[in-house]
Amino acid sequence: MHADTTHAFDPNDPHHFGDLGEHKGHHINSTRLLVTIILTLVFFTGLTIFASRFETFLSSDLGWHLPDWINIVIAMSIAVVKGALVIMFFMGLKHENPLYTVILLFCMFTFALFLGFTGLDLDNRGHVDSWKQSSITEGGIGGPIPHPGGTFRDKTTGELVTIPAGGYTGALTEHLRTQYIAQTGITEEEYMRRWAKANHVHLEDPAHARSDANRSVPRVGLTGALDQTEPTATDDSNAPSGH
Amino acid sequence: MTTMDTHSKSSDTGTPGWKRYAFADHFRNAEDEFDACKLGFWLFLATEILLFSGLFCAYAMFRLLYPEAFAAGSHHLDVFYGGINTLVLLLSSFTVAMAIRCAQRDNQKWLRINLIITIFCAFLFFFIKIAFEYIPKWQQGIRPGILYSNPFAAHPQEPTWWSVYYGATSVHALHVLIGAGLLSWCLYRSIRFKAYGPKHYTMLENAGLYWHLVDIIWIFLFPLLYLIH
Repeated sequence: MHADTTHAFDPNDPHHFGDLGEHKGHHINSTRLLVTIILTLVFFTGLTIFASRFETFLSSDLGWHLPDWINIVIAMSIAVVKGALVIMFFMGLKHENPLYTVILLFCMFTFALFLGFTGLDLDNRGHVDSWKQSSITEGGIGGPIPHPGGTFRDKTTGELVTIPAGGYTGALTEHLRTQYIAQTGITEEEYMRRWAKANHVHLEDPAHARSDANRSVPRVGLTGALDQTEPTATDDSNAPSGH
Repeated sequence: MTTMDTHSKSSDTGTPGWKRYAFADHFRNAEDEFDACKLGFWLFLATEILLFSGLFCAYAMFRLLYPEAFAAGSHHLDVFYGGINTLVLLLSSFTVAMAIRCAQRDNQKWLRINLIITIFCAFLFFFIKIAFEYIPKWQQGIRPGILYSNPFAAHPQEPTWWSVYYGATSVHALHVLIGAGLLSWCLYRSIRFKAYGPKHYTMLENAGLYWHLVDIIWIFLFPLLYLIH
């Protein structure tokens, strides 16, 4: 639309905003473009599954262990490309008011804040400034939630097993293990055999031995609940004197 | 008087709903109304993204803390069902984009066919999720958090992984159902009133945006849940 030269007064548009030419009609995607996008998305879905499988193949068959971060970086890079294709073409952001893009970027920024501040908190749970040390008291609920009990079908034998309700000390998973052995009356060896079957691992392979969480980053100051372990507030690396 | 007249008896006269539609009094023209509706819907989508951001944040933090628990838990998920569901959602995103194109070009028949395919995909996704993933897992005692009753955990924090898995996927599945409901409503209005055409398809456009968001969330959930080790 071009500027109105008559300057007739329109009560619905007193400032002639309607003459600014901001409405160029809606963008209509061609079928060809939409088909190209969906095929690209399917290709990237296959690629991300292949990348994951290929990495497993490298480590299990060739013994090449790639660094841990490669898995997540590849998967997320592909997901970002797929998401961008959907947003730009299916949702039409490419041809839309840039204001919507700003809204989207605002969401990304806020997500980064969520991650950043939660991460900061998690990483500093054990950090105690020496000048605050005298005022620190122990927090947390001090014990695990009692297990409500539950009946499940044993994948290895096909039988129904009931774990009675009750409290426990230590980890929930260890409680379930001992309860299961007590309910079924099996030996420790038989349990390990069934455990290996349920988790699709071979016990002879030392790499697949039951994990003891040693690789997890040790943290301090977490509230005990499902995995109730002894508080490790005196962790050396975070001791007040260390700062 | 400017109202959507689709609910009156005059809908039987045969004039398509989108032609009878007149924009609301307080807008300057139909374009402004469309833009305002869409801006409002993008703001709503922003709140949806922030809702899922919280879940992704929980995922990131717990995975940083217990990477082996996540790897062990993810090992129990079947990439086949996750992959099929990804394809189902991608296809449905495509058909909803096609449905909007059909509305813009007044192709009422294919508008409905595309919507029907989309809704079918939505229920197929939900069915696969429930029948092949949730129910077998739940029966084996693989449940979220304190409900976890499976004695064969590979890691003390496996229940935490299942909490994240059930939490993220169930909120997503709820959105799949809501999206299917919105699109079903669009389909009903399309069949009953021919409500969407070149000059008016605001509701279809926004329902489509919602559906694409559901698709995008799954595009991120799928590799995060199924492809880690």
